Amino acid sequence: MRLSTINYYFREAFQSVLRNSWLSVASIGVVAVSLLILGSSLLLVLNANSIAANLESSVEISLFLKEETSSDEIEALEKEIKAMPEVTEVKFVSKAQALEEMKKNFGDKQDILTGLEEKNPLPDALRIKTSVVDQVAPLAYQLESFDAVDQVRYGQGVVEKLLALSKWVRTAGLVTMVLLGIAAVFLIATTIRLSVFARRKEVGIMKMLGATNWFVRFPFLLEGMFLGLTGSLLAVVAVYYGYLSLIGSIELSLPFIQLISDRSLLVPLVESLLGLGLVIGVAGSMISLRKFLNT
Amino acid sequence: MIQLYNVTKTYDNGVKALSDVTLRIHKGEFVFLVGPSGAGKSTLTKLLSREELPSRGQVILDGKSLIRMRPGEVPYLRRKIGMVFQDFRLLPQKTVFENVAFALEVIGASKKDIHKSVPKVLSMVGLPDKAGVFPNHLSGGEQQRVSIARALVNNPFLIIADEPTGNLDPETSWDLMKLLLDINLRGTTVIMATHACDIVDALKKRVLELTGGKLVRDEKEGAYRCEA
Repeated sequence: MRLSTINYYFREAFQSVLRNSWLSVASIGVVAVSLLILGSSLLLVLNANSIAANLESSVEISLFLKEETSSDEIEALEKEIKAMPEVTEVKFVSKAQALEEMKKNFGDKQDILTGLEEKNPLPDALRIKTSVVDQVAPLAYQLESFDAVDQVRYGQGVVEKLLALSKWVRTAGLVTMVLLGIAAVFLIATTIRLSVFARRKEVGIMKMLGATNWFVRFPFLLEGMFLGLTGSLLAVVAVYYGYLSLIGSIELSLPFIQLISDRSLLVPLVESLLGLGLVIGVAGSMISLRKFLNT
Repeated sequence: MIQLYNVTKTYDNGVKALSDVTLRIHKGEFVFLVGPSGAGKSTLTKLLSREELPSRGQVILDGKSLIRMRPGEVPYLRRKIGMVFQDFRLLPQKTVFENVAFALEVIGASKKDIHKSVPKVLSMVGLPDKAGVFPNHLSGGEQQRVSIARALVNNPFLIIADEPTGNLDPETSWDLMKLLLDINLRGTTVIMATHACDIVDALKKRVLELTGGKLVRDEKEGAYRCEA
């Protein structure tokens, strides 16, 4: 391809963008908003998943043992539970350790607990982790039947709710992404169609002069790519800086919520948003150009 | 060079524009295409530039069947045909130079070729000093000269002119005819659809007359025979 031809393509594409300036701004805006929502819901899903994963891994069953259970019995019970296939970890927490932990949780108000060492009311306990969260409930039910077990505690309901929420966010995010993507493609298609219409006289002359179909199409394709890419660039900037400031303010006010902030996750997100903008632009122009210019 | 065999064209809306037309035009001829509006003159020119395909019959141009031609070959056919229209079809946002250069840009010519060829055709049509002017600052006759320059710049073997003098006053029309005759003298075949009976009568060229889609007359050194 000649340099002058490439020059021609870019000149025509940008002239068209400028000539239909309000239309170009509108479609850039639509792509930007679509990808902004898309990027935000992606971040929402990713964070919901990561928070869910954190909570999932921290969900455990506490097995409070009867007062009279001997250490031999405890050891035997520990072995038996460890042998179960769904159990990944069993930890013995003595009443003394439990009290220490409790003191830590109370922080500077731990004075309340002084004196409890002599007559510790806390029971010995086993803490059990499972490989999959789904198994927490049935396992807890099974463990309740052991003789030495006084009480079984786990995040009843919380785990189930969390899983349902995570699944819902994932599905809703995916549906939003697909719908907005389609909407953006068709809006670009409309813009390109109008752009072609605005230049139908020129297109007619080009065909009369013996321009190939690809020669006629290419500036429009370039225009679509430009609109898609510019829109996605705006979305990326907004998502990126919006998210960074969100992380900043959440770290201050809600320090226990851990948002994803590592670059290995954000860089691919930025790249895929830009790539998607380009794909939306190309797809939109191709829809408009496919039917058009066949003779 | 141009052969039509039993060409019939019926449009999708049922209008029969041409019926059973057979004719032959040789290289270097100057042919007037006459007849009332709606007689099929424009359809005939559209068949030659392959904007339309005939419903029946065969069209052969420069030894090639336009019916069997693949869509990808059509642009290359059109590069060898110069088209001139009543409404000039110039791009108003481009200068005279750019309008003519457009024909070369569109086929991927180099800048060097463009700067060599465009001034040459502009002086050939008598507008060497109008290169930087925009079309709407030109008279109708000058605009039509620009469109002829654009049609010529690719060295076509055939010029198809569809009522090129339709928007021009008589004197300007005659200047334009001199230009077309000049081009024809250099060996380019010219087919001109027209209503201008005084021109047809005066030039005594070959006349093809269409009426109701039928070829009713094919005369060497013919006349329009204006009745009105």
